[in-house]
Amino acid sequence: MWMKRDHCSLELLDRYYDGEISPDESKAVADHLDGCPACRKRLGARRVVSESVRAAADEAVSRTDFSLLDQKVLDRIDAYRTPFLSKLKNIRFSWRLYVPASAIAAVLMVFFTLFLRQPADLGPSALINSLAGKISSVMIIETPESRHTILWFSEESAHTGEENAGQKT
Amino acid sequence: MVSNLLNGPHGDEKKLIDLLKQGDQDAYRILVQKYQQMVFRIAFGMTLDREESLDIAQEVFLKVYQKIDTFEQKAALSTWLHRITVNQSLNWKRRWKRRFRGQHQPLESSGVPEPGTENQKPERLYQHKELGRMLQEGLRGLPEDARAVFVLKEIEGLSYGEIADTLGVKPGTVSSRLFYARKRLREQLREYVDET
Repeated sequence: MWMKRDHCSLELLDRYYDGEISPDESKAVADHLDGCPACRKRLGARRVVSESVRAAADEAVSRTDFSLLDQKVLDRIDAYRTPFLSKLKNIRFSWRLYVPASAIAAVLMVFFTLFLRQPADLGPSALINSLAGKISSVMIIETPESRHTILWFSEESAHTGEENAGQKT
Repeated sequence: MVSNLLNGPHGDEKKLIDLLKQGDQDAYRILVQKYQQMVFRIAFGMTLDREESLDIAQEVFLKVYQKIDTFEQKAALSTWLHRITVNQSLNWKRRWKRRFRGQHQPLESSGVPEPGTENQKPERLYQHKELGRMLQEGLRGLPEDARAVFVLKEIEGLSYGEIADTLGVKPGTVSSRLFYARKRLREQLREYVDET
């Protein structure tokens, strides 16, 4: 980090400028800078960047009005700590508020009554037909809403066959 | 009594924090007056926008009110404020990026010389304005972590250790991020800052 071809490295110059090196190192860099125009120039360029950034911030501060900031902050703190119920109490009810509120409530009631009723219980799927033999059995079932047909096949039937047990729905 | 806290010695910070924890209005007023410029400068370094920086300053002090009970006073109040300001500014930047990707052009100019000075000559004025513009462009192009370190160093003049405490990173990380940020800016400003 120290020297690169008899010049200070940029990192060392940065740390020197920032005051982040030991007093001994700092003295060594200062001595070097005395006799090295190239490193002085790089340090100068480094300073220009720093000063430009600071100047931009200073100028922004000087053009800004801070006089109302404390009051704005206090107002926001007040708004934050006011409980929700107290905010509600501050709303004064009047006929101008009651009429639209009642109308909205009525519309909502009609909507919920008409469109959001519980769907009717659809019950189990309908059994269309079933065939049972000694070796296997088959059932044909149709779902009530979507009208899907389900074929159920089983090879373990011990019961007596029961043909045409159900009615097609 | 409360107003004495504004310019009081270090011991008064504890008193101020106690009053802040009690929700004392005067204490909050003093807090804002004492730290508003510091908070604003950091926010401005991060956003390069004065109006937004004022909004961020409000958010920072509101955050202090909301979180003061969790402040354990292991670090100085200013360090805590630095941290909140950087975080709020980064949140603002992220929100801004999402909303107006590439559409926003802040109108801030930086360091315009006073009339009647040597720097007022057209050529120098142009160079100065160009330097300010390029600097802002360079800052805007820095990654968030490098930019936060750079702003805390250059605008607030914090030491590497203080920056490390503020951002919760190691001093070595501060050093390397700072070096990276400056390298990028030097490259950006090569035309205006003669290093060779």
